[in-house]
Amino acid sequence: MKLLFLLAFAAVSITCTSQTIYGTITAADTHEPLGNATVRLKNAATTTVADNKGYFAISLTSLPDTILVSYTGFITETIAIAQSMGGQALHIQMQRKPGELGAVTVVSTGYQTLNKLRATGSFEKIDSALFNRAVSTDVLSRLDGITSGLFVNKTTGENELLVRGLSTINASTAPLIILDNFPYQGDINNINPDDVQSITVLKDAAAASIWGARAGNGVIVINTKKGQYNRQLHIALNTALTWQQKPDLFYSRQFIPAGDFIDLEQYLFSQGFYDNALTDIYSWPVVSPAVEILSKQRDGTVSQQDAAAQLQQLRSYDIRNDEEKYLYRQPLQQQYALDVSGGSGTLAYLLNLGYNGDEGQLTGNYTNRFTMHSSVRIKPTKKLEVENELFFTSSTTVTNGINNLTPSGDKSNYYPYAQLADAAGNALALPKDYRMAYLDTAGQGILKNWLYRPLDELQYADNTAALSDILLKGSLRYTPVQGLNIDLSGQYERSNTKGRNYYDPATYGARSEYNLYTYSDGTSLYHTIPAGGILDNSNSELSAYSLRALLSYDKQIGENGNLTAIAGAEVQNNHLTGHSGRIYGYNDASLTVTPVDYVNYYPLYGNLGYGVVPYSEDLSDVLNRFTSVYANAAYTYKGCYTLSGSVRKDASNLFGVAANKKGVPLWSAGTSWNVTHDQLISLPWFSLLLLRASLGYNGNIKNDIAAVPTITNSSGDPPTYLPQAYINNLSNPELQWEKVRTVNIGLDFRLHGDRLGGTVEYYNRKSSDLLGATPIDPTLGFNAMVKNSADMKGNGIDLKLNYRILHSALQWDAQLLASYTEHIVTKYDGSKNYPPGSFAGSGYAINPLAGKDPYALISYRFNGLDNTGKPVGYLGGEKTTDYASIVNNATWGDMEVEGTTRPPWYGGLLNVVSYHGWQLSFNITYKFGYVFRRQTINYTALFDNWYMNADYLKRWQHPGDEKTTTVPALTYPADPYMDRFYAYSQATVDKGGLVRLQDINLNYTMQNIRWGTSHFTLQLYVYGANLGLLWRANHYGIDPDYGYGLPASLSISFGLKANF
Amino acid sequence: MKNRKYNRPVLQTVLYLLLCLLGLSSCKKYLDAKPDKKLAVPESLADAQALLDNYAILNQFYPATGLESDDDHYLLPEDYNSLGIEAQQVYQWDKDAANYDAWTYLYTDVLYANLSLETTESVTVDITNEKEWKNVKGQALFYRAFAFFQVAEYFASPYNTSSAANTPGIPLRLTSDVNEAIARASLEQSFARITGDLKEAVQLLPVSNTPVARPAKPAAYGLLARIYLTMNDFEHAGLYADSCLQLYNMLMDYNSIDTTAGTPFTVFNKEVIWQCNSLGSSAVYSPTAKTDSVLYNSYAGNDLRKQIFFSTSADGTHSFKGGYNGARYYNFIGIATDEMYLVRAECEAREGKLVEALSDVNTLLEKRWLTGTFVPVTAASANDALKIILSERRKELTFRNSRWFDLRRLNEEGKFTVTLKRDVNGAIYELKPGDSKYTFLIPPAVIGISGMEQNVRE
Repeated sequence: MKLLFLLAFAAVSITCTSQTIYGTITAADTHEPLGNATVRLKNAATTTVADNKGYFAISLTSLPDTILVSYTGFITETIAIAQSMGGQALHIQMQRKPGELGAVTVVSTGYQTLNKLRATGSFEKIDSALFNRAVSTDVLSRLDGITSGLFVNKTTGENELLVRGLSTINASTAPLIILDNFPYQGDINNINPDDVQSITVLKDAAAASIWGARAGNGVIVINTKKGQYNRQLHIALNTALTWQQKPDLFYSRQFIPAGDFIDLEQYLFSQGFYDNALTDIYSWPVVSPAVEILSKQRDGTVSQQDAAAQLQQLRSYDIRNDEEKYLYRQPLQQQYALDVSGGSGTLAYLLNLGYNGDEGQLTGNYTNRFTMHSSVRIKPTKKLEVENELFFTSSTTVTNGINNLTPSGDKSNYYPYAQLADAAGNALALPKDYRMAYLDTAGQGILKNWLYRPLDELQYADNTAALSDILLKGSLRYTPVQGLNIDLSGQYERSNTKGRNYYDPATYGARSEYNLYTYSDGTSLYHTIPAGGILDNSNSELSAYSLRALLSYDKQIGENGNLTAIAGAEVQNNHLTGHSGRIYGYNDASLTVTPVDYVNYYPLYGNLGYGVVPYSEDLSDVLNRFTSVYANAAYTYKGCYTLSGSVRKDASNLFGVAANKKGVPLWSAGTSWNVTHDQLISLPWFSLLLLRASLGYNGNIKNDIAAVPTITNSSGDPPTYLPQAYINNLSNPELQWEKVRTVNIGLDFRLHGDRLGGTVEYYNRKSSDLLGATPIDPTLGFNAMVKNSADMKGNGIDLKLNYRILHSALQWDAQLLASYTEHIVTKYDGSKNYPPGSFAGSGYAINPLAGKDPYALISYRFNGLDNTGKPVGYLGGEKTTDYASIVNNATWGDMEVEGTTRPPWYGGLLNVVSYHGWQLSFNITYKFGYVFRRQTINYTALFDNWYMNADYLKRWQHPGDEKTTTVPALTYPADPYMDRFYAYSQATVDKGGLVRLQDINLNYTMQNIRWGTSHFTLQLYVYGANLGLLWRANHYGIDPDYGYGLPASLSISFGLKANF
Repeated sequence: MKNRKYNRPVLQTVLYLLLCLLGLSSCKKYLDAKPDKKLAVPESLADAQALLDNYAILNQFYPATGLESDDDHYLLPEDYNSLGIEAQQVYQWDKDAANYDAWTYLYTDVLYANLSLETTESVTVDITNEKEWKNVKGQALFYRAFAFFQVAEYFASPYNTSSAANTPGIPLRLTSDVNEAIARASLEQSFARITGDLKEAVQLLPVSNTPVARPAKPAAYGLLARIYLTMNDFEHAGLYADSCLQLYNMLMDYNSIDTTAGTPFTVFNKEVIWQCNSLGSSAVYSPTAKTDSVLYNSYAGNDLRKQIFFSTSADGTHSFKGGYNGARYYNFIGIATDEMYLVRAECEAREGKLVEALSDVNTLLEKRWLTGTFVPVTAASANDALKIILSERRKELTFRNSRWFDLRRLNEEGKFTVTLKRDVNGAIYELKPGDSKYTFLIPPAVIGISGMEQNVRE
């Protein structure tokens, strides 16, 4: 029982027989008002219902009496009223039933809502309280760390969501996303998270197979907020300001200090490594300033003393300081959301408005997004309900920042002593595309300045993408008889993205093109590309519709039975068109354009060869159509035995694939037993015990396959510009969709006293007919063909436990998530004949090999360095330093399978501590049982491409070093086979375990603040994310979650929520 | 009761709509819509021509294997070290050298030609499309023959009339059907198919096509001349070179070419009869590939080719820059008039027609020397003239992928044999005349799947 502040002890006469008790009812953990909570007076036997702000008033007829407050999913509050309240309000905070944090009893599949107690499938529901703990501008990233069985892979630089691991090898791994009952075709980032009511993840076949051929990767069902009938006007306001640190460029191990780098350049210079580049007058390859100085010193144009002084100066620079200072900033993100809703008996409405203004970490980048969602539901008659929804998103994304400073050509990055500005802050030039010695002098007076000054580019950049998206939904529900509903619904979406990348005449891009395409016939100059700006335009448009007819039936049958069933059909049509192109000689002020000759070859400036003006007009037009019929039914007997089944058939217009049209229907079957409701069994300890089991099939679609020989028509390329065609594939009439069979066994339980509850699930998944490129005789004209040629199996466990640790004024709840997933590729024809050495790699790309985990990390066996600093490997079991032979001829005995790079164990521990109006919650996530490969030195790439790695500093230099290091000695010339061998040897593998402080949320809620005649609730919150690791298994300071990229930097949000 | 009556039409409408949707989901037409406008099942002459107009495939997707193995160039140790193992094997005439890329490139070209041919043949010929139909079919036959010819030169023994019937040739893939069995025809059958297809192409092709990326009649004659020359059938080679030159015989005067230019020639230049380039390979990429110093020194000082064709690096090595393709990373392997003059000259010399032979070679050389310095070459006998012509052939056609084919045919003939040598990091490799390693192994991946006969190693 929780009564927070009962300030009613004024000694007042108790003779008064009639007074009103009033107050508010909120959830103790989220402080959300609990509208529709039931308030009952025990003695007076009167009942009332709280309004949507949680406000109630009830008349007391006699004293003493007891107030009982109840609300679904919460423990009933009992408050004894011994004496008059003297006009003081009661502020009742309801405690959620343990085991209910993040779990609600009603789940949505996108076709129907199910009572979880009667469901047979695996559903994971994230309610708004849990969802809104986090602060973000997008919906999906909030699911990380709070969703059982959901793994978010960030190693690729993007958030890849995997529901229970991998079900396919070559098709998309993305789960199907349903927004308000229909697959969402636009960019899910268009949806404002403040508009989300709840999210349900459908994990097994019984839950997801109603989505058929596209549900193989699981389904994420997002339901947005809706207006409610019979609710007073409710206004909610949420605003947050988020501040983030700059990225830590010093985290990266891809760096060598300037001094060491210049030492290396001096050594290579003495070996004559740069001589060809320095004398190449046909392509003027980029060389570094240190090499220019050394070259001048050798030519005698700079004295030895001056050269030494200049090099000494360069040694003191560090490009990372300049990048952090000039290219990055601490961004500020602003979020505002306003929600207005309410309803009468026949009308319910909601309007949600949102605005985000997000600066990027890169100076020059920002995004603005405006979102609107309106929902109106009308019940013109008792049997008819009409619903109309409109989503509108308008966003602008500006990407003017410079995120990969590169000299282009074969250089991957700049030398470590590059400078962006001088001491006074003036922009400095860096060599780009061609050697500085050439750019400095080329066409003096005739050409435009040819220097590349990154900081100036930042000023002139003008790269914008503007999106507008409209989504209209309508539905009509007719209920001819109780229990039977006929739904007709549809949606139409139109989304337009306009891209504009304008190169001002002052930008390097425009100047460089102009200069390059200038030539002289000895007397006069000709400009193949006119002076002026260059404009890259792009435009893409999505227009999509879906129509659905659905019959649903929900009826008590006899005394003990309950039948729910749906049957429906739908069509879906997605049409995507696009156009992109480039305009030369463009004047942004007057919108004038100068035509160019795209056809003929012209000399490039100097000795740089011949070229045609790059032509980039491109059009696209893609149409995807699906038709589906489906049905499911569930029968529950005596409220405790449930049987369910579903069936679905999909067809599509994918090219020529007969299987699209005559595919086998996908089906599922499931059963559940609610032991606690079974009158034949009495359970001493449990207040809930539910057993579930299901079996069924889902599919996976790959859009780019065809069964007949097809060609792709394409616009011509230089030098002919004739329309041309590519052959996509050979005839393969046997192609069919991928199939995923899932078995799921689950147990939901709650102990008496309701302090401990949870869910345990075991699943087994078998993916068959997976598409994979299979080697064929190259004499056929292709060396591989996409065939249904791979199988994979996997199984795993998802565990979720909720425990109320403290249950007093200080309340402490904990939720533990633990998942285990493992996969084995059982068949993969595509890699059958590959040599073992070809499987050694970074481990971040899928590496399918029969009998192994699809993300198996495979290494060359490594036996340390020998006493000359050469790494020792194995060939045929014998130690060797013949790296070319190892790389080409290694047997499996010379290789080591290290483990998987995808964590098999992962989960989180969320703690929520509340005390009066305060609440502190923090989430700790973990990943165990995997390995990863460090990047290391690659001498070939270091010499040729300036590819740096800190391991360089640990390289073998003197005999004896082999006892303390595994980094090979530098050799000149470099041996690319040695580089490959060492990079992919056992020496660069580390254990990948980590424990992360995912986020912290601290908030304080003030209830029932008076404002004029009304009351409102105010919450202030602070939220911190990207707080870093608490523990990691590796000793290199690497955060393996981010692969070879930089970890996200610390962000802190300050926010305010108000409810009127 | 009343309510029910009112509801019936509504219910009926709803059910009707539901049935419509169910009907739509099985409606074939709805699902027959093209998923991507750029995608097509090839069915028209335009499609067949578009397949052949794929410049990246049919004018550029060819191996540079002959260049990688010939004696016109060598590699510095660090450049050799960075080659893939297969390229190293090709470079040093390893007994296991198989050249997977060459096989896949060439049979990709064959597939394009076959699909184009099948598409063309499915189109009914009538008076409105006859010219175009013949043109497309002629081009397709040409492309297939060009690819087959190279497969034969890399993966089958040099042609010898007496043994060709019993020597394994190449798989003659004539359809795009995946299920067609694949086996090697005899060398005689292979060359009969190649020359037969080309002779049919000669009948079908127009006198010229624009641009010269599309082969026309002179290109088909030119390719026949080149092929008969490698078969040591000088009579036919000379005749076809002559037929080619009868139709087109323009030469560029190198005095009008910028000798300092990094890429002195453009694609589609005046001498090009049919434009075709081999794919860049790091072994033959300029300036990585170093020109053999004996070859370089064989150009006289006033021979403009010395400066136009070669650049000199800091270390004193020379690299080729004079391709007929306006780029330094592809090599021209198409057909040009200079080659035809040299084929005709060689065949004339071999037939003892000294005057005609010298006239042809001088016509060419006059355009190659600095104006005013050229002295026409003379020879006492047809055999002397032949030696001069072969030497000029090597100088004129260097980096054209013709040297390797010449080495093979001259070895087979037995009169002008050479032993090739490579120094690789101190190890010396030799390739003797008539060595079986002049024929590469068929890639094991091909043998593994198809089970076709492998080449022998002595």
